[in-house]
Amino acid sequence: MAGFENKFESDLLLSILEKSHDGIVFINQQMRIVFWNRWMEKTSRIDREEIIGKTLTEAFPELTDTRVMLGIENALSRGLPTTLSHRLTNRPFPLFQPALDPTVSERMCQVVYISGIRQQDGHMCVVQIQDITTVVSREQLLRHQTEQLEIAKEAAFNANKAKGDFLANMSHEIRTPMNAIIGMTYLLFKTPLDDKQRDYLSKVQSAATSLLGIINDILDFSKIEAGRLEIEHIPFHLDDVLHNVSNLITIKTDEKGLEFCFSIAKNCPLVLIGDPLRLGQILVNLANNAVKFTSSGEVIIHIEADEVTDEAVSIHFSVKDTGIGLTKEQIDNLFQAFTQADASTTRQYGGTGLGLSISKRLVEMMAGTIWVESTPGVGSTFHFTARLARQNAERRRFRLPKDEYVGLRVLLADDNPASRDILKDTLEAFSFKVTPVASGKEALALLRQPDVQFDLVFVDWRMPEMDGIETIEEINRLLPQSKIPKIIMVTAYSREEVLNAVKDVPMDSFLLKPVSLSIMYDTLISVLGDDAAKTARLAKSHDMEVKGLGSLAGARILLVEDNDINRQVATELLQAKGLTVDTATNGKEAVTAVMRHTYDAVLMDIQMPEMDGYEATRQIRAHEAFKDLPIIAMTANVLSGDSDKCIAAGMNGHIGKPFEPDDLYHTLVRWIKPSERLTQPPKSRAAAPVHAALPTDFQKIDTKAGLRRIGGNAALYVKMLAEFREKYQDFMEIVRKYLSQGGESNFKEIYRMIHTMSGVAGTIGASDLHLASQRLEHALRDGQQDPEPLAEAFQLKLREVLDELKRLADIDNSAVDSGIAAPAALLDKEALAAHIEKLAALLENGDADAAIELASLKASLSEHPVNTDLAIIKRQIDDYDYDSARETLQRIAGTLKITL
Amino acid sequence: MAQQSILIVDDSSLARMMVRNIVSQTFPDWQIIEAANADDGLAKVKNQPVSVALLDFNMPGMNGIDLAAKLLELSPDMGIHLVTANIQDTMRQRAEAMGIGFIKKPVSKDDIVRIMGGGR
Amino acid sequence: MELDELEQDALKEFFNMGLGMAADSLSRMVKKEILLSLPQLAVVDHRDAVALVDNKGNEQLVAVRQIFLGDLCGTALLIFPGGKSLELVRTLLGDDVPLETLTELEQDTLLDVGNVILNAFLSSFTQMMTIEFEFEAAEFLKADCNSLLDISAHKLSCPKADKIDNSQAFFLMMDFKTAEDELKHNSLRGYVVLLFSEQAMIKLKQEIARIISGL
Repeated sequence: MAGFENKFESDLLLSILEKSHDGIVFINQQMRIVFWNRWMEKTSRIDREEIIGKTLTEAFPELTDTRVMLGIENALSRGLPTTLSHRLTNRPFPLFQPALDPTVSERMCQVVYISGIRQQDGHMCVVQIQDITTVVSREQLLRHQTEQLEIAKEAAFNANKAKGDFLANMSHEIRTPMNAIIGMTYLLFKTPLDDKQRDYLSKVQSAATSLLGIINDILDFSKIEAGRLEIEHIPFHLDDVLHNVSNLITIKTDEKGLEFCFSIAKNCPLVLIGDPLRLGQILVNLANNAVKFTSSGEVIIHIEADEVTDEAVSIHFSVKDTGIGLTKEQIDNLFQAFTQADASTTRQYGGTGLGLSISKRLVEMMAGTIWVESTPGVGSTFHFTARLARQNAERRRFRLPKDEYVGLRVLLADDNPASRDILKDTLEAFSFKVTPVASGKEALALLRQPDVQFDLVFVDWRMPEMDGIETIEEINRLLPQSKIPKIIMVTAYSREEVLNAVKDVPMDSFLLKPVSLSIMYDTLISVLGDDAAKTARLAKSHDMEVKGLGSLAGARILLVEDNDINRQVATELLQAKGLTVDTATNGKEAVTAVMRHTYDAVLMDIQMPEMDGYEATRQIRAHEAFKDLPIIAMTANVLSGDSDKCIAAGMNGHIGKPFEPDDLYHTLVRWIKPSERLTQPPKSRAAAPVHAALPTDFQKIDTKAGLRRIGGNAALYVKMLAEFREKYQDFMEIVRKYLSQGGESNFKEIYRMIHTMSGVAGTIGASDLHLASQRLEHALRDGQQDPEPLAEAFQLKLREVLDELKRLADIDNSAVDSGIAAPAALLDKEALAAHIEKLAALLENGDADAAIELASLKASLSEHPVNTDLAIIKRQIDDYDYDSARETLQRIAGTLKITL
Repeated sequence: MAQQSILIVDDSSLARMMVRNIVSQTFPDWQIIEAANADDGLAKVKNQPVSVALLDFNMPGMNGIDLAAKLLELSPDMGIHLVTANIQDTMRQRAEAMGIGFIKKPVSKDDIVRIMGGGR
Repeated sequence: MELDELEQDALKEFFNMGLGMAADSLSRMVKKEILLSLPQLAVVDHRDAVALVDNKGNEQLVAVRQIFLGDLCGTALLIFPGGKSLELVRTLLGDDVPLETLTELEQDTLLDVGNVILNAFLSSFTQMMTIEFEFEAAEFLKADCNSLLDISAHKLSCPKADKIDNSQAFFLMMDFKTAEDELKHNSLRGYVVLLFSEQAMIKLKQEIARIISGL
């Protein structure tokens, strides 16, 4: 090779090129190969003797018109360098991976560097080739692995999604039968039950409710996993949330004998915008946990504002308990799904382990954080923050109505320091001067001092040494009547228990812990004697709803549901509130029914055979006349997508299955506005006036149910009870007499008498008696050999009822009249006369249809004073005493100025 | 025989100079008309018949292909050639589809002789 | 260096021809039509060049460098801002190269493409000139904008007397797309920057003047 200074240098350089680990080729101006190193010999399997002197196209015809050739031309003509990458070079040099057996060796992946070297007579081209086969295969492997990882990731994602869908589906599948269980339980409670059955049933109910709670947890969790959970932004009052929390938690703290208190910092705004249900859910969950893991001591919910602006507030909630506490390791795992503090905890305390992870997500959705501080054996405090918007122009709801109440002196006796502090804070929020003491003794000591005066005394019930009752009695003994302050007892125990215990304790009121501000306000106002202010207070939303329920009576509802049991449950729930219910079992029937009748609302199941709820709704909505008809979906699918679908199909709202009866009623109240009622509402029934003669503490007679059954007419009810007492006083002796005589005709007679009595017992609400008489009646009807044990039971039940009825005050007949609502001529006189004439004719013939005719007359005259007399006719007909019945009817006709 | 003329349309003055240089050396009796854009070119053709037109493709405003179409409407016999630095086959195909010539930049003497040698 | 209008026009025409060649080469390589345009050409100093390379966040830039030596001493750079370098490869290959990582092979591919583009520019730039050029092989660089555009950082092997400073650079902005991108109104922006030594700049101006006067 030319150009080197001496042979030694050129030999050295050549041998370096020769031994290079890359391929090296020189190409001259004439495109002839002039150098071919050892590496090229091995990889191309062409010896240099064979190739040197040949042109590139002679040696490699396949390189014609390739980038390799173009690069070489560029280098030779202009000295431009070219780098040919593996991926962009279709046909590089035909080189092979080194291998002993040429048939198995693979084409080499290569990078080709082409450069021009300037010489006197133009450019010389140098081609350098690198073997990158291993790099390529490594990269392919990497790419392959990345793909596999992607696939695995996707599969994991899908599996997780499938799990979420499965959970959602399963909980849907479970909710449908749950609807039947809860609904049927509710209905069953309304039937006569003995104590044992009632106990079993209440256990069924509580198990069903707790199972539903678990299913709801799972559903919430899967909704969160699927990103389908949404947080509402509606106006609410924090106190209402706390009230609900307290309702749910006190039951449990009562059972375990724990103190449960709220402590609300004065700086915390209460009128807010956010999601009250979800906020309540978090608090209930944390408080439930606290109760679950605490066997003695207290659970305190503390609430304070971290940061308050005019528009928003960041509220810091904490739930503190004195329970078993948590270790550091347990805390670390606490907020993960499906975990509890440890596996043994699960065994001991149960639970799904989803509550905290749901709470965590809910808190995060409220732009807050959740954390826990705990010392094992001492207790835990769960904290969370939530950002909530404030409602405009927050009014101070708890301002005292009179200035004279400002600065009242309050003595507070409570042995529990936490509870005492909280009550003190609450009372101070009302501007009172509070003196806290830790025992009844201390309280009395203070009251004994002549120069000390208190306007109000709050006494805790359960205190060591001297309890609240003793303290109050002692105060009454100690002070002259005129100097006795208003006394309020505070207790963590349930209302019933307190009511029984404090019946005779001379005090003004009692408060159940935890004491929310609004309850404290109501109590203060009632004790301080300003009831007007109490009514002025904003009515709570649930009160409004209960109020609206009455207006539903008489509304006509179309219930569309393919499941027999669910249809029965809903029908009975609706009928119980006086609604008229038509049913359809699929969408097609529903559409037909809507075209034929006028409905106030349609309750529509979604998944049905023939035509589903969406399609039925679309078809109904297609008619202009039904564009405003409230259509409410009933769905066990509670994912948000379904509610969107319901709205899209034109439905007004939806109710999730299983529904609590109250949920159903609330939903209907919301959608059926009295002013927009399409069907004629019945004349409003005045709320049943509590009748002086009617005791409220009957055990064997469900007076509420009885009263309801006769339309709330208390006077009539009392009269019926009195008549029952008189009529059946000696009933057992008569029955006994017939029984002892034996014979078919006697049995028949007993059967008839007991049948009649059974109906009356059911009506007045003596359900045990009703049941016992039915049993006896059936035994007699079926000709059972020995009805004696049943007769025995019947006698016992009858005795109990009659004993109870002894306490019934004697009837003042004038009260009956005054208790009846103003007469209402529902039927015009002509129609009425026709009814009465027909009834008279039936009675004349001794026709059993008289009972049916009477029922329809009774319904027409339900608000009329003569209804009382119709009830008498009913009894007479029931007793087959048609003659007396005819006489009574004569009298009624006279009253109504109808001539028979 | 009337003096023949060639129209050179290119927004680059250097490009026009290069072509003018070659034309004036090779065909000194031809009249050379220059325009810096398509509109200018169209205006000049209206005043004077032109045998050959060399059109740059990439110009501000109307491009060479669109200009060629207008010129063909005015004078179907004109020998039109697209002159462009964009030498991809798609561009060549576009020119062929219109029935006009295609010359890649920079324009060489051989190109000029080939298209003008016929002596229209 | 002051360039008059004609000189500027001449330079632009050279680069346009280079662009045409680059597009042609790429198009042959990937067998689809490549549309290249040159929205901006400027002769600027180092500071302005840095400002012109739209590099948000001052991250590391990926560039292909081709150093030239001999009578004209300097370097040509093809720069893709904002981690867009792989998008060029993807556009060309039309496949789903993950953009997050630049693997060894992809580096080679980018080097190949950059080499083709720069070669096209340089050959059209040089073919009118009588200057002899010599080139080093294309190289792959990763650097921040400031040092990438600093000519002294490129360790050019110029004659000792030649002054290497940041006074001047040719800066070309290039938009790059395929026919499919055209439909989607996508384009990829790249920069071609030519950095010259002082001597080279003088020589270049003389050469341009010579070409123009020869016409």
